[in-house]
Amino acid sequence: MVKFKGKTYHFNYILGLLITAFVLLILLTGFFYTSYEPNKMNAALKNSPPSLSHLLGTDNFGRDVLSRVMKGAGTTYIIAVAIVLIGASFGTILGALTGYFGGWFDEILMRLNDVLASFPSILLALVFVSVFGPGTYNIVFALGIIFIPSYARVVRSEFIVLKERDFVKNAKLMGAGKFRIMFIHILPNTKKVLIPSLLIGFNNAVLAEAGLSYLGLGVQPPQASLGRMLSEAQSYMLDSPWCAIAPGLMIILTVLGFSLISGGVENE
Amino acid sequence: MKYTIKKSITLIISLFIASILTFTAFQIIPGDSALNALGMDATEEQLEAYREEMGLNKSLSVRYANWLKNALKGDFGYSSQYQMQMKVSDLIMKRLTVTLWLALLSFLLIVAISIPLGILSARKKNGILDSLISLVTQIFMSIPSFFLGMIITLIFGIILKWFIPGGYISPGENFGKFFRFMIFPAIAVAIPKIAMMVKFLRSSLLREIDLDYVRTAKSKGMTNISILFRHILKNALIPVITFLAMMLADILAGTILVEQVFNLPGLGRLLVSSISNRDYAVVQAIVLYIVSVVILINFLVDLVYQWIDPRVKRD
Repeated sequence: MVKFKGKTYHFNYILGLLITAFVLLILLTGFFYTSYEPNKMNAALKNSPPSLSHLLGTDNFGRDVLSRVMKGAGTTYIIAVAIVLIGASFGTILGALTGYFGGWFDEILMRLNDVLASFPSILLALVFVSVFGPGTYNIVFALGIIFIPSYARVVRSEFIVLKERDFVKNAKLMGAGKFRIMFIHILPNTKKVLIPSLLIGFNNAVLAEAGLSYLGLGVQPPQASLGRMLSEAQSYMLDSPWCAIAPGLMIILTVLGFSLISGGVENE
Repeated sequence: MKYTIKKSITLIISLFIASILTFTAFQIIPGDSALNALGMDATEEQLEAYREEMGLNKSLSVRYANWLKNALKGDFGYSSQYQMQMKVSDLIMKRLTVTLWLALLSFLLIVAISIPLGILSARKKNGILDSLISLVTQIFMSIPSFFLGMIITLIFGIILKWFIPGGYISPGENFGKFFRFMIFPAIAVAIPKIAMMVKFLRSSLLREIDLDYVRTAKSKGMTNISILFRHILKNALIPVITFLAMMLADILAGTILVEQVFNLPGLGRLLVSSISNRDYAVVQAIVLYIVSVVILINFLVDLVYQWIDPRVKRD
């Protein structure tokens, strides 16, 4: 437990903030500056271990691993943010409508939701990729759609509870319109569950991007993403394990930071 | 009985919807599927013959009905990546062993390790050991299973040489060696799930500990250990069973990636190679297969549930 400005915070929450700050620092630096050109090959420096000139070593094409991780993390995060934005915005609207109005529309969507829940999300993404082909935009689109049901479910169950509360009844008596009640009165009250699920969703998106790109179905070369780098590093585990460890650690730190923070928000 | 019937109807509807989704998803593939299958240099007659043979000229609902009828008999047609020489069902049957063993071993590891750890963590609530377990579980939950697989290959395969990376021996040939090739991938699939399970079990146990019946048992003079095993665990394990069933979908998904890392000839690798080769009949069959397994297991869990906890029947 750590006390700060009269509030106590759990140690894990602080740790999560620190880790996330570190990860974001690397990421933001990567947008403006990398010590080497991430895609520049150097035949003289293939698979060289970490050294002062290449802090995290070089890969099988002699590319600087640190620069590639910095740029690759950027790619992964942009993809993840886009996925969460698509999933959360459509999911929230659907969940709000079905939770507030109920009825047959709600019934049908929830049935469909139940069935979709039995498709493991990577499997759904694979179906999508197999139908529309691999590529960055396709996995953003695919995973974004796949994420919609989980947000719809969270927001729906909050709306079902909150719509019976007094503040909603008051707003109704004051003559507020349905959509005003839904999005101005009820929605802000869902933030305690919505924020953790946004963070967890971001984590799942990072992991899904990594998985699909690892399978060679997401981000295509020469563009770097954390999953893509892991996939390329796989064949050189013996000669240059650092090529796999650097992007892998970056994924772990990202996911760990966000889940520690989300645990802290939930406990508040 | 009414509960069982209700659940059975839900099962059938779910399987039905899943089959429709799986089928129609592959009908919206851009382009001419006859052209996709036969290639650019096929003549118009060949294309027409292919369409006739595959029933592509018929309406969507007729094609779905045919596909479902054959699927129920276990016939998914022929695989295009094997030049239409291999039956999809044979292909799947051959690959199924690896995936099932991998899933089963991971599942056993998860149950065997997470339950004792979860109990330990809850008993020493807020102690140093508990905080340590909670941080370690959080870390392991953040590791993607395929990256874990790569690290395991590096440490146990390349450095310690406990197994040959990328090697595989079929169980019929030498079961002991097969097991050795399976256990490391199973660990890679299991570790993140063990972490999740410990966290879940801990909170489930702590919720029970504060309830009245525990206080009653204490006031009757029962020791903490016997309260834990005779009362708390029984109640705390009920939500855990649902969680385990939900995790099964994740385990199956995890095997898709981990098979790739360890180069195991399972369903996951077949799925990925079929996607790369646009072998839609195989992709469709595997997807339907995995989803049906998940739906069936959820159904079984619902039935087990009413047996261990009669309260659910009344809902």
